[in-house]
Amino acid sequence: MNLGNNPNSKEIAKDRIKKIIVSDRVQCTPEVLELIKHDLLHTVSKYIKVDKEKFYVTILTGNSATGSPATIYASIPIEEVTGK
Amino acid sequence: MGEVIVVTSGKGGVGKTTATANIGTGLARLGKRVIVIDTDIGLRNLDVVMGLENRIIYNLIDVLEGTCRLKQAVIRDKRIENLYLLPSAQTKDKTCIEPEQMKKLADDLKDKFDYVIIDCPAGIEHGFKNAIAGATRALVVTTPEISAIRDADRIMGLLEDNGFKNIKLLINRIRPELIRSGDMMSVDDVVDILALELIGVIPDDVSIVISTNRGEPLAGDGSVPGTAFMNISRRITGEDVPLMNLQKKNGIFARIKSAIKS
Repeated sequence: MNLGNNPNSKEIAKDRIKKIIVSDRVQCTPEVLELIKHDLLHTVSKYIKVDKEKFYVTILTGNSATGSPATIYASIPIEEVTGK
Repeated sequence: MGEVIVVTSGKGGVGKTTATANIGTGLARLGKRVIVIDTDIGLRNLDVVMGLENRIIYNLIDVLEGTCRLKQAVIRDKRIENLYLLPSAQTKDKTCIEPEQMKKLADDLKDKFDYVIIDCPAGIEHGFKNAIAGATRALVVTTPEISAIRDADRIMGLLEDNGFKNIKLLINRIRPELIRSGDMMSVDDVVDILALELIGVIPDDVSIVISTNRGEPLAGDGSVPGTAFMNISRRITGEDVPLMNLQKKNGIFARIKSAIKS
């Protein structure tokens, strides 16, 4: 993705809508989520080799009816166990 | 036992009513017995899009208030076998009916029709709650624009909160030339952002405007948008139909195909 000097407006829109949706869903700002993602990857990678391409962290909306809270969901695909 | 599907979006003007009319038409053309219901009280439009505005005598409110029998309000589309419309009221407003009434109506209609398609008004308040009350499946309509996507995400959340498990995405008003020039988000982009299973994609096409002018839904007429709507109707019945190639770039197929379950 090359934003260059003249980013296509759709790349701008994509960035904006992703941030908007995260903010809309919870009180967790995109910046905080990025920090969580970074720390999580770092920690797990100390023990297990993680497929970084497929690794993602997202926020699942809570359900006020059932009382279930918004949840941070991390998908951490394993490449191989290095076993320290 | 029929299926009750609500067509919703949050955002107004993204094509719910056009989708309802055309998906209903498509299903009827597949031989299914279909009723489409306009729940936008006070701002009715499904009758106009279907070209049935001159045949309205009674409406949804009359039925729910007991002023008339269901049969008296339901309009049979004379051009398409097995297609019926229950129009909304143009006077009155959304607060005059309750979700429980809609649930009861949907349960009643399930016995009489293969598919009950409910056109939901824009918004997230009373009209929305009424429209989803009897439904078990939902189609979320969006365009590839930032406001529509934001509202679609909100609507998805509300649908999940209300127990909907079967929620599919319809992306309307795709303009392949803008996607190519980088000024419109692609189908892949929208699916990634909303993380919803795709039921279909409809191009922005003047023939859809013309079909509304004429009051003749175009599903199944052999045109590109007509075929796209027909394919959506097929997928709703469980058929596995690959997405049409609406743009020259072909990265679209592989990603999206996996999003379509049979």
